[in-house]
Amino acid sequence: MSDNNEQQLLQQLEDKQALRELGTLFARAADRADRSLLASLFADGAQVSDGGFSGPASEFVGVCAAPAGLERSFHSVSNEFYQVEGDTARGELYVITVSTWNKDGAKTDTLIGGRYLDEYRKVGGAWKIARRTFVHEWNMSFPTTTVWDEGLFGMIKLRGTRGQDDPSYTLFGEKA
Amino acid sequence: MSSAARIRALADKQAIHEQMCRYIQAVDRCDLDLLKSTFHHDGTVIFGIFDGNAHAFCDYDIPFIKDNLIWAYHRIANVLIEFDSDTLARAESYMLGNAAAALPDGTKINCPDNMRYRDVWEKRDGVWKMRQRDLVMDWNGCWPYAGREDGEFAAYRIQGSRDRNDRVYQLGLVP
Repeated sequence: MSDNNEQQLLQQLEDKQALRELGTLFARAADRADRSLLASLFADGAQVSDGGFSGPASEFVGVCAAPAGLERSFHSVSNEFYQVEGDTARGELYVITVSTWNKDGAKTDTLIGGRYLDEYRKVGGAWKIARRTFVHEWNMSFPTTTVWDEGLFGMIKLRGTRGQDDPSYTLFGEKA
Repeated sequence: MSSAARIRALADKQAIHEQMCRYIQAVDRCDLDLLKSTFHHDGTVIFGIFDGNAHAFCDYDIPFIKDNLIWAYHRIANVLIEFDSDTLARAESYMLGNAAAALPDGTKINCPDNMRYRDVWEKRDGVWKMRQRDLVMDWNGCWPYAGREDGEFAAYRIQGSRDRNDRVYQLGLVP
């Protein structure tokens, strides 16, 4: 193997790792309702199509950060698959999102399984999302049964929140 | 950054990721020695069910799991690792789990749960282990138990176990 090939392989490994981290940061930004982090993940002119929303990422950021009635969400991402071509890339990610909605006084847990089909662009050495399309596969809804204050679950005192008071910020700090 | 440093950074992230999987392996197989091997001896945890020294937590956690959960299955994703130096890293990971438990009256329930781990990892003597691990709860469910062992499910003869009889040991994937 030539040195040139090795450099290309190393670059490809770094690109794919950076793309995986980009997908994970999107989940963190959505689940923490972190508007500035979310905005930082998109390339200029990026487009998003996700459920009822279709339009520029700059608008999606506001919609995603403040949906009416959403108490909490958990975007679990896996099966990341990427094809990198220089400074552009495409990817498919599997996601299971668990959300608790509070509408009209009733709480509902919703599980949604689907995929993100993405286009990426490398801008100033950093990978950004240029286009994201959510493909729905399945969903389930149940009246919420979450236990916060009793038994085994009640003992776990660190709780996730949709905001800067989430425990993760004390470890990672605020992201611009 | 030199090529050597770039390769080391990739390998370090992979090593931490693998140790995160080790931790889950240990919890789901109830393997106390394996669980301890993922923490430095002076590590600490904040888990709510136990706060304090990490190895004391391991001694507490394995019997706790066996006493409270009929079975448990933990699946991690969303791993984010940030290095502070060549030997120190902070990390967050998502855990989407499922477990079965029995209520005091004997009724079985399914408890799916969404948790996150908030970690500090340190490399000592060439091995990444946790210096800190905290458990953050995002969601849980208490659903009627719906698992079945009849019909087509009876065909699944290889069942996970909480001892060294599990197939992962036979395959030599656990020390």
